Amino acid sequence: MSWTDEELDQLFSDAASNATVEYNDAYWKDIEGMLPVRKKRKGLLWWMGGAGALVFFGTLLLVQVPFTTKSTVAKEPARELANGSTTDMNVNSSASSQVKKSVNSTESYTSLIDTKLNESDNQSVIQNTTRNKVAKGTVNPEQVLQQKVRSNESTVESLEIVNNSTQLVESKNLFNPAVVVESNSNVMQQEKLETEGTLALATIDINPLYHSGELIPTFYNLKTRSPHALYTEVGLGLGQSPITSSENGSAMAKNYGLQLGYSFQKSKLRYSAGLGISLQQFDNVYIKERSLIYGFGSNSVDNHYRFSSLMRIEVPLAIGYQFKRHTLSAGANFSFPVIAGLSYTKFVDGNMAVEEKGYTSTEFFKPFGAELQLGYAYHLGSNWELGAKVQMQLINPIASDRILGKTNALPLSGQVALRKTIVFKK
Amino acid sequence: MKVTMKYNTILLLFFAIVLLGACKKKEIEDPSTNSSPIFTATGNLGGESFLLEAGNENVFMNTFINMSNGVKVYSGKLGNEEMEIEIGLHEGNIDLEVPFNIQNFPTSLTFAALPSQPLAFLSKDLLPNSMFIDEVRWYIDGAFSGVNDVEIIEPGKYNVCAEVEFNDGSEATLCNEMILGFAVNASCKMRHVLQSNGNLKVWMDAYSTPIDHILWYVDDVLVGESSNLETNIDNENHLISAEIFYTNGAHRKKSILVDGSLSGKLIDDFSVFENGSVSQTKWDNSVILNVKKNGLTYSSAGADNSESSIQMISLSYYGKNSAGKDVYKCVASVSVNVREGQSGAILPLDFTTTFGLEMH
Repeated sequence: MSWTDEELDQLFSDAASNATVEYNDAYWKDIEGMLPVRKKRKGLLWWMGGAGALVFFGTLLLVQVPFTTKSTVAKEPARELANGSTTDMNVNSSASSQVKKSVNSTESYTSLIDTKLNESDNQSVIQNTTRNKVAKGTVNPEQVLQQKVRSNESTVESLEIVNNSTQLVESKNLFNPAVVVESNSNVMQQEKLETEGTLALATIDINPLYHSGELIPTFYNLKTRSPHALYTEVGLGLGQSPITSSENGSAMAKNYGLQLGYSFQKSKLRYSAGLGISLQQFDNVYIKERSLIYGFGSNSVDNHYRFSSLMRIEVPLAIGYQFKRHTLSAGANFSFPVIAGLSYTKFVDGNMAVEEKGYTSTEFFKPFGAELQLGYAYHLGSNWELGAKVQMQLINPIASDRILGKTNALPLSGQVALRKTIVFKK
Repeated sequence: MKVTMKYNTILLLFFAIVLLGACKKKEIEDPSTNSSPIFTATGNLGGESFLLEAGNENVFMNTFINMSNGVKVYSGKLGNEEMEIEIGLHEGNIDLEVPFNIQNFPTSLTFAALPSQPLAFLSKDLLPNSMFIDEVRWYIDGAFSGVNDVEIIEPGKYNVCAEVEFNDGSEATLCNEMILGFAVNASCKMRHVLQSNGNLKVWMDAYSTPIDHILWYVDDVLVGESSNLETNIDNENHLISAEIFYTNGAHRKKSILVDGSLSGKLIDDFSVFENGSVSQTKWDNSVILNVKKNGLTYSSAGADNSESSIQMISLSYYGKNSAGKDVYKCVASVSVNVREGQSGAILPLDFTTTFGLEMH
């Protein structure tokens, strides 16, 4: 018995339109059992200590290794994909039929799709020679997608995606498999697609899903993104000055930051640690002291010290929850003051005698700072994030009572930050 | 490669900022607290108490050195418009060329009192060749003081000049240093012999202290260093000077006028006047205290202070004054009688003080 092209089309069309997708938990548990078990991290202090070294050496690596955004297929399973969430996918067969599928993954990124076909013909042998089913976009000859269809059970049992060499097209919105369908005796196998467009028995257009944001995490993984990444972040913001003074300057302080860091993505959680510098500028942190100096007579001496800025080394630690294009994060930021900007003016009997600008030590500030931080970031692209943070200083940086004014308890600040993520090259 | 460059730049920026922490930083001075007045005087004058504190109520401590009759007086003046105390401390051992040393000051100072009799009596008749002299006009420190006979009362180191008019109408002038009313650590008399052939021999006689060396000058020209001077001169008058350095550090200069014509128109040094003083007055390290209060002036010099004294509690270096001169801080207890200038009333003055004196 021979099949005409139309009959074959009809066969798969019907099968696809009536396919059901089931999530088999046993699959995932088996696969999960094969995954390497990661040790739990011990202690926050290890994070802090290691963060600096990681950032440093990581950054060195960053400098040495030319980064690329070219995607390669990840060998790790896509957890989100493997979570078994049932997803409606638009399957473009020759008849553009819909396929309900359940997706699992293995270490080789094998996705199993159980597809039930409504129509079956045990004897049919489908030799996929049709070349008029062209997927959207172009197909890399190296990309091989095999779909095994057991027609004797009238079920497409699995769709195996061998993606150790699969590469998504740059537009990220096409999934363009080649499909092999086999029956008991007749096997249709397409080992390699021609670049001009070999029949894709089921071409999956995930573009709508991508745009809806639902598949973004999955795609990030499918896009072979390593869970390890480095990042740089610049930020600027405004906050409360550490001092409330009734006579000196503004109660607000500007802040600027630059961070280098490391982040690790696990599932939807992103852990990050970094090393950075921050510059806080204020104009109400003063020491004003007047004294009467006796000698042959006496002189009224006024010393005015105005701290204009405080530069700190920061160690930010954060955990982020990533969903769609958004990330919510919470963390702590530990800081160590390095240097303070200073203006010094001296008046003797009301006449200016000295006026200097420079830097001074941080003896008037606490040697350690900690602040809580809540943040939100919007993913502008695969590697850029624009975010906003709210920070609350748990330790007021002012340490000397010679500084005029009242120290603010838990001063708040906000910051807008732009982050660039740099992934490791696989 | 551009990517690499970008991150190199970031790294460089990062570490450059971190290195800022290692740059030199301005130190913030310790909090300046109000200091206490340094120069003060508190006590009573004639039963009225007073308090003077430099820096308060326009009281100022002014320090300076007065030259009184050629002698340094280390001085300070503490006060304002209403009251002012001035203390002057005379230099001691004024013929010694030794560096200033506050250790040389005694802990108990006496008040300087005017001598009851003249310290020196300058007279034409006391000159050895007075028979050839018609008149002597005396000048003390450049000021004309009298003809033939002049008395010097106050202690000091004077430059005394005798303008001599001889019998033949010729004139000559000779000046010499005279120390009166202060301790003289070395003394001597210059003698000379002039032969008819013009050979002149000059030497020191009756010196009280061994002489280390002498510099000889003829007509203000240095001619040699030896114990004696032997030279030939013509028949004109010549000024012979000797700069004498004694082994104890004393340094004196003496001059004579030699008559080359051997007609007796010479002028001897004034040792006869200096060495002939019989006064026991010595103003070395003595104090003169003046007070101005409510427009009246009081002075320790006009009162009997033979029993008065200043107990010096400490004398230490303080710093430099506005003229850049060294100032010493003297902590003392003073008990003295002062005489009001117009009425002549004597009032007791007792006070303790931390006083500034310019000393060097």
